[in-house]
Amino acid sequence: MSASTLDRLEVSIRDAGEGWLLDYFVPREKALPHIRGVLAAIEREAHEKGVAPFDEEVMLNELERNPHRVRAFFQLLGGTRTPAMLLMAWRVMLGMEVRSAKLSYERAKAFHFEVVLVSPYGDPPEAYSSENVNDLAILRHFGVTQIGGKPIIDGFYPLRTR
Amino acid sequence: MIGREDVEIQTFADGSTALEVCLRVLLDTWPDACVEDGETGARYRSTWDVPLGKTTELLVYQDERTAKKWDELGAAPELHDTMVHVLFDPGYVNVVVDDPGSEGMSCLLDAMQNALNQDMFAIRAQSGQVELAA
Repeated sequence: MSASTLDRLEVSIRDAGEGWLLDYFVPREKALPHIRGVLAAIEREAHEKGVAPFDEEVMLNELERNPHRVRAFFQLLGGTRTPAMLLMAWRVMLGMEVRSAKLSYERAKAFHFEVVLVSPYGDPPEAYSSENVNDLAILRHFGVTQIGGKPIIDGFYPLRTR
Repeated sequence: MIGREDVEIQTFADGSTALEVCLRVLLDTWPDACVEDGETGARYRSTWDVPLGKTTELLVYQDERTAKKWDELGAAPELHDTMVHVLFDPGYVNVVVDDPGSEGMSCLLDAMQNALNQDMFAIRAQSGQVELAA
């Protein structure tokens, strides 16, 4: 298959160095439809929440301007299950601030992860939550620091895969 | 005119990631910051419009008014500690400030160093080990 006939999403994922997302999916030929299904679910979530639209084109357009953000997002697609959590990550990548995060867990009983975002431009707060323990994978991408000794969780970044 | 000093911070983060890390730290202190692409000179009203993948250099002013003052006066004493110049080279970020020892700048530089040294930038993930749910 020539490069010109390859799917733009597949080319973008491979060019970003995240081809594992496709190659380790079983069955392999269903990887792209599965990813597109996840992206569509995020799009619906954004619509329901009334936040800025999200779709495949929006995501791929960001790839050229800010490749690290979309690489991080591709990596999240591999480990995160809940569309709301993926939307939350996307919103943080585009500038929303993490106001609070709460995590509770009881072995074999319950998992609850909740994040509230606020806009630097005064938009209403946005709350996102998950009951799926697999979404814990999202934590490894959060940027953290301390400013003046105070804790700051800010940004989503890609892990090194190359 | 005032002198400016370079502070080098080592990092394993790639260029656009490293610039974003520094930018986010600065925005926490200067929420109305005006960001200039150091390569093109383009300035952005919304800091989230900055194409970090297309540059290696940012000038971050405290706010738009300060940026205009810098245009008029250059590195004048009255503009002390109101602009931070961030440059990326593979392996490190060079942060140019007026006084790295001042309370405000020292706090910002510590935060940048803390953020740029997160282990996620240094530990190589074993790609291909993650299973996808169908």
